[in-house]
Formats: sequence, C-alpha cells, structure tokens
Amino acid sequence: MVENDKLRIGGIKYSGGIVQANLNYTASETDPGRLLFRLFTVQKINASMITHNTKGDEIYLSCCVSNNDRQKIEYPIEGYDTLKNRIWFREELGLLSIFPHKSRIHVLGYTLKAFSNVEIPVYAMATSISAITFVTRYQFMEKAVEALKSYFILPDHHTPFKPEFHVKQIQP
Amino acid sequence: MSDKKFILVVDDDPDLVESVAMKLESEQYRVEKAYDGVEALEKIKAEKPALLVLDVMMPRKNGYELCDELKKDPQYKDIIVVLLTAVADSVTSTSYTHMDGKTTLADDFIPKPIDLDKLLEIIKDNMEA
Repeated sequence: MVENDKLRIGGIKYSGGIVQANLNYTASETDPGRLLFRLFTVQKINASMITHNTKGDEIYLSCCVSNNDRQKIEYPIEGYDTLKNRIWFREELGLLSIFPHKSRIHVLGYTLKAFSNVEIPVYAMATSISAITFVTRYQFMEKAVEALKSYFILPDHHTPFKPEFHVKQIQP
Repeated sequence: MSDKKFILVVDDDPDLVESVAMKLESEQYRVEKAYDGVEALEKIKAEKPALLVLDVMMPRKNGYELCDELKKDPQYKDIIVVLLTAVADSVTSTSYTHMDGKTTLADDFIPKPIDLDKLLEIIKDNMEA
C-alpha cells in the first residue's frame, strides 16, 4: 500500500500470553456463566476480554485470562458440575489492540486484510471506546505488527508494543 | 493556531485517554494524546501544553519521572501537572505507591477510577488559579 493511503493511528499494543476459557450453555440452564464470574471474583482473576454471543437459546461465552491464571480456574471447577467438562481452553493466545479506531471501518478492514495476507487467525474480536482488539496466536504477535505496518502509520515515538509491566491486586 | 487551551493527556490505557479527551474537547479544550512518558515528552517539545493529565504507571518513562523532569526544566516548569494515581495502597507488588506521588512536584492528583466531572473541576481550578 502506498504511504498516502495508510491510516494514521495512535498505536498498537499486545498482551502477554493468555488462554481463552470457552463455555457453551443454553439459556434455560442455571447460569453457569454467572458461576464462572463468581469464580473469577473469588480467585481474583482479571479477564482481559470477554465476549458473549447468543444464537437462539444457545449462549457462547469466552473469557481471556492470563496463562498464569489457568490453573486457578481449572482446579476449582472440578467441584462444580455445571462447569466441569464444559469449559474448554484455547491456549497460547494473545490480544492485539489497535487504537484509536475512531469508528473508522477501514481500521477493521485493513487489519483483517493484513492478517489475511500472512495467514494470521482471528479467534475473537471486540471494540471499546478507543481500541479494536483481536484474539490471535501469541506466537504471531510480532508478525502481526509487521503486517499491520503495511496499512497503518504509527507515531514516531511509538510506545512499546509489548507490555513492560503487569499490575496485580494482591489484597482486597 | 486555535486560542483554545491546550491539554496533553498521557496514559497507556487508550480507553482512558479517549474518554478524558472526549470530555475535555466537549468543554472546548484542545487535546493531544500520548501513550507513555517518552511520547509525551516529544509532544511537549513540539508544542507546550498549558496542562498535562499524566498517568503514573507507564512504559519507558513513568509519570513521576516525566513530572519531575518537567518541573526542573525552566522551559516547562509552568506546565500544570495533574497526576492520575491508579495504584491503590493494597498493591504492594510494585514500587509505586501514593506516597511516592505525594513527593512529586505535581500540581494536583486524582485517583483512578477517574470521576470525569471531578477531573474537569480540578483542571478548571488549576487553569484559573
């Protein structure tokens, strides 16, 4: 793409390694999603991204949590029949965010084109007031950033793509 | 150049930057955005803001470092600095605490999560002082 056609953005950043905890259930059941979130609260697990889809009575919930928190979900759910054997994990993922999108549909289109060019999978996506975030394989993060540079112009003094620190609440 | 007062909002959380910027722009301030201390300093050198809304914990150069750097520089010491202090007392796994914030040369503080109306009040008070 020629330089003039590229979109100017504020930045790109990606997360540390995450796992995606996926849960399927039907609306008529006692809400296992609520139980999962209660577990997150008790275990002090941050969910960096949550997607919730419905199709008829079927509900599909996915929660992205740090790799380090996976065991904090896996062990306790053994005690809950409504969760046990129903959560499955997609591993070795990361979140890549582009900001600000300013509601420009081209940000989505160019990103999908960039990822498609180098065959980077997208497992989920979501937008916030500023960012559009994609869930993809963690191993492809640097490749994804390079691919995006063909479509987006980053600031000269761009902040690091990779997180330099992680804040965690260790007391209530 | 616009005669609107120029504010630079600096935070590594793009959503926070965007929401603060939208609020300030709705109050007729001119807003620029940066996502860490290094990028902020470059923007300050390009155009000096009247006020800086500055997060504490950021990559490369944190808010305390940038604030002290500016306040010790004759060219920039009159920039009003409002620090965003996100780190609660309960977070003891980092080297950042509110106490550190109190020893900086910042002009004012607001704790996270931010009350945008309160932030606006602080900004107006400092701009008019």
